[in-house]
Parts: sequence; C-alpha cells; structure tokens
Amino acid sequence: MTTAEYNLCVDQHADSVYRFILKNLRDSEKSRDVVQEAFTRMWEKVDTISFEKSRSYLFTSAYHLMIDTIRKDQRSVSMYDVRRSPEAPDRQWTDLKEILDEAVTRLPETQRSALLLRDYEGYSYKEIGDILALNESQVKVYIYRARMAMKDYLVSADLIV
Amino acid sequence: MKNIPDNPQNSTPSFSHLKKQVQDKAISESNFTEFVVARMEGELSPAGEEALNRFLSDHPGYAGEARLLSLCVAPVDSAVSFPDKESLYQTVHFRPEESDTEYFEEQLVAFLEGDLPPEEHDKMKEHLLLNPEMNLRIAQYRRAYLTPDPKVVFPGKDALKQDAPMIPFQRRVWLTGISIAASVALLIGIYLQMPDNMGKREYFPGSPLASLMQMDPTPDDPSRLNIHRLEAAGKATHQRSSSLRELSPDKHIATESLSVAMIRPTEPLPGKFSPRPLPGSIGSPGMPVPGPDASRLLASSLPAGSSLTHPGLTVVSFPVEQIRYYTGGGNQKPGLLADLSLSQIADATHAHEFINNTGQNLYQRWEAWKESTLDAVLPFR
Repeated sequence: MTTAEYNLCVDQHADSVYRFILKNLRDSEKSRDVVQEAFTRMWEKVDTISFEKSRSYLFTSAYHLMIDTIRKDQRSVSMYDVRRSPEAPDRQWTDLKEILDEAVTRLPETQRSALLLRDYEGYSYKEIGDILALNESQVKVYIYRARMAMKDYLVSADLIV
Repeated sequence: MKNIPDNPQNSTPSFSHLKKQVQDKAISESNFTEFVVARMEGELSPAGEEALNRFLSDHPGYAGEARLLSLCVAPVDSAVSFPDKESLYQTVHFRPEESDTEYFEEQLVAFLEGDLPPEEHDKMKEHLLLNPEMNLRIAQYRRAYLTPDPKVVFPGKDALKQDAPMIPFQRRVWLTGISIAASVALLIGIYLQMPDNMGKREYFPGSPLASLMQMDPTPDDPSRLNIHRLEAAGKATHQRSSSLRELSPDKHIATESLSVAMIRPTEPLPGKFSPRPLPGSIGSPGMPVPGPDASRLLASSLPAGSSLTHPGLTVVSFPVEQIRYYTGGGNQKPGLLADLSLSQIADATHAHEFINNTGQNLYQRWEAWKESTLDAVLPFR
C-alpha cells in the first residue's frame, strides 16, 4: 500500500472504525485512542498490507485493541453480565434511536460487535468471523440471538411508550 | 417444517451389526437364515454370500425355506398415490402452532438475513402473505436493524495521515539516535552562524518560490516592512521557519512561513472597531466591537508556525500560502479579517486603519495573487 492509499484509508475508514469502537466502548477518548493506534499499526506495516485488505485489517486491529482496553479497564466481566440479555427498559422512551442505542449496549460484547459489523459495514458472516476470530456458524448464531434480543427489547419498550 | 436432527438413536435400523455377526461365525443349520436376511438387506459380504450358496448347495432341503424367506418383502404398490396431493402444496410451510417457537423466530431472522435457500425463502414469503399478523413481527425485526450515525465522525482525521513512506521500526530506533545527535549539532551550528545568516534562504534556481521570496523584507528597502527595524524599536518580534516535504520524486512542497508579533502601540485605538464582512471570514465580522477587545488576539487561533511572544495589538502570520490578519475578543471567536501581503503593512500603529479601510480590497487582491502565483508554485495542491 502506498502512502497515498494509506491516506485514502484514513478518509474512507476512520469514521466507520471510530463509530464501531465508540458504540462498543461508549467513551470518545478511549475510542479515539483505539482508532489512532489501529492506524498507527497499519502504517507500521504499510509495506505488507494491500489496499484491498486495509479495511478488514483496520477493523480487526481496532477490535482487538478494544478488547484489550476493556480488559484493562476490568470492565469486561461486569459488562458481559449486565448485557447478557436485553431486559425490559425501565424508563420512558421517546425516540427509536434511543431505544436501539440502549438495546445495543445491553447486548453481550461479541453479539454487539457482530451485529454492528453486519449492520454498519454490511460484512458477511465470513468477514465478521475473520475480524472477531469466530467461525461462520458462530457468527450466525450470535447475530440471530442479537436480532431476537433487539426485537424483544424494542417490543418491551413499545409497551411502555 | 422443523427438520429432525440427525440422531443415531432415531435413524433407520441398520443390519451392519448382523453383517459383522454373520461374517464372524460359520454358517450352519441353526443360523443360515441370518445369512439369508443379511443378503436381503444387502449386508452380506462376498465371503458370506459364497458360504451361503455353498451351504444351500450342500443342504438342498433348506433351499425352499431360504427362498420363502427371500419372498418376505412387502411389495411397493406404485399405483397407489395420495389422491389430493395438490392441496398439500397449498399448506403453509409453518403450522400456526409453530409460529411462537424459537425455531420459527430463527427462520424469520434467516428470512430477513437472506440466509434461507430459495425454496424455503419462497415458502416463508407465502406463509407471511397468508398470515398478515406475521407482518407486525417482521416489522419489529426490521425496526431493530441498526444504521450508522453519519454525524459521528473521527475527530482530527487529518492527524492520522502520513507524508512519507514508513521507516521500519528497527531502523527508526536507530535513526532516532542519529537524528538527536544531528539536531544537537545543527543547533550548535545555527548558534555559531547567527546573526549573519539569519533571514537568508536559498531556493531552487528558477523556482517560482524564489521570485515569491522577493517579498522578503530587507533592511535596505524602505518600501517593505522592515521587521528588523521594528524589532530594534521594540515594536515587534518575528519568527521564521521553512520546510521541504517530498510528496513524490517530482513533486515537492516548500513552505516558508514568517510570523510577526506586533506589540501594542502606546496610544489606545480610537473609537469603535467595525471590521468589514469579508468573504470566507470566520467569527462575526461586521459586528461593532470595542477597540481594545477587537485588537486582542486569542492565542489559540494562531496557525502553526506563528508566534505570540508579546500579547498586544495584533499578530500577523505570513506563511507563503496564507497571510492572515486575525482579531477577536471577549466571548467572540477569533475572526479572519483579511489576508495581507507583507509589503502592505508599514507600521503596526496603522494596522487597525489599514484593516478598516482596505481590508476588503486587499482580500480580493490576495485571492487574485494567490490564484496567479501560488498555483504556479503549488500546481499539485
């Protein structure tokens, strides 16, 4: 990948990687650091990464950095427990986007990442599996569970609104 | 219909155990029927087949029993068929009682994800058409699909960009040491050369940048701003910097910047200061601002390369690409009032009048100059 192609990657993928990480970490500073580090790592290997593979490299690298960040914060266990299954919302909602945002945060981390990569980036099961280090069947199961949990949460929210 | 998972306990009985038993034992009067049954099920090995034939040949009395046993197969009457098969095709793929099962939910998700084979996809579609209440559930799933928020963008994207090919890490560490040593040597050299070489620059012969640098102020040219004289009078300080970036073997970008900090005049600015609205300006041009505030520059608005060593009336930055006059104060954002050329400011004390009277005109002239000259310098911008 040339320098110009690398800079094109910045233009094309920085926002989408940032959105993906921010949705997971919900911390703009940490998300920014993760994206920054992912691009730094790609730049260090710019000679060995093709432009065509750059997007998946960025998402993979950012995902692993994000997991490291979560572990460092020692939040991974509590996050998983809290978000194991979206429960009925306990507040009034006025906006579908708000409900969805809340529902996403309640998903287990892997389900959430798989769903975001599917919906935000349109990745296939295979591509998501490559990023999250899962096989296609596992990805499919995670996404199906996430879809059902999201729908259930939405229905519960509708009952309250 | 829900697929029955593969389960050895539920599968069709196999005679493979019989095959093993039959092959393991010698054929006799008491067990030759097992060989016959195994042959009927296609489980008899060639050796077993040969043994059975030999046994029946040697014991013709048992041949009749063996033949009768072979006939004990229920015949398939292909003439019998289901009389109303077409009506079955109308039957929906999912029974109503299945609609609340997790399996059905999975099939719905699979349908929305496009994971169903074409035939099952069509059946699900048909089921949904025949059961309008299912549309609500589909709608609920569709609402739960996520879309990225385009307003969320990575802040400071330009900071991620790079100018030159990456140096491998090991080389980088090694070169860092060299760079530090070189920098120290360079600083010593610069110190030893000062002040004789201050302000002098060499440019590529014939480079448009060289002619551009004719604007460089010199003490001998009174028509141009004499920074050194202003400095000697305690009215200004300045800082220069230059850089050369290689974009490709035939493309370079040379940047020469000169930042001047002019010191507050002894006399306060008269009256109100009303900057003219200028195209492309930021802040709130056109709004009357008290003089002292108008002349206060917010340090945070300084572009890279500029300096503000004396907080005062104005700071004017003179990079080659841009010459800008900033102002602002109080709660106002810093405003870009005008782009100026170096030779057009003769005295710091007249800067406010200059901006008021000729800012608009100068901006237009700057734009024209930039188009004609700067584009020649940086054709690849």
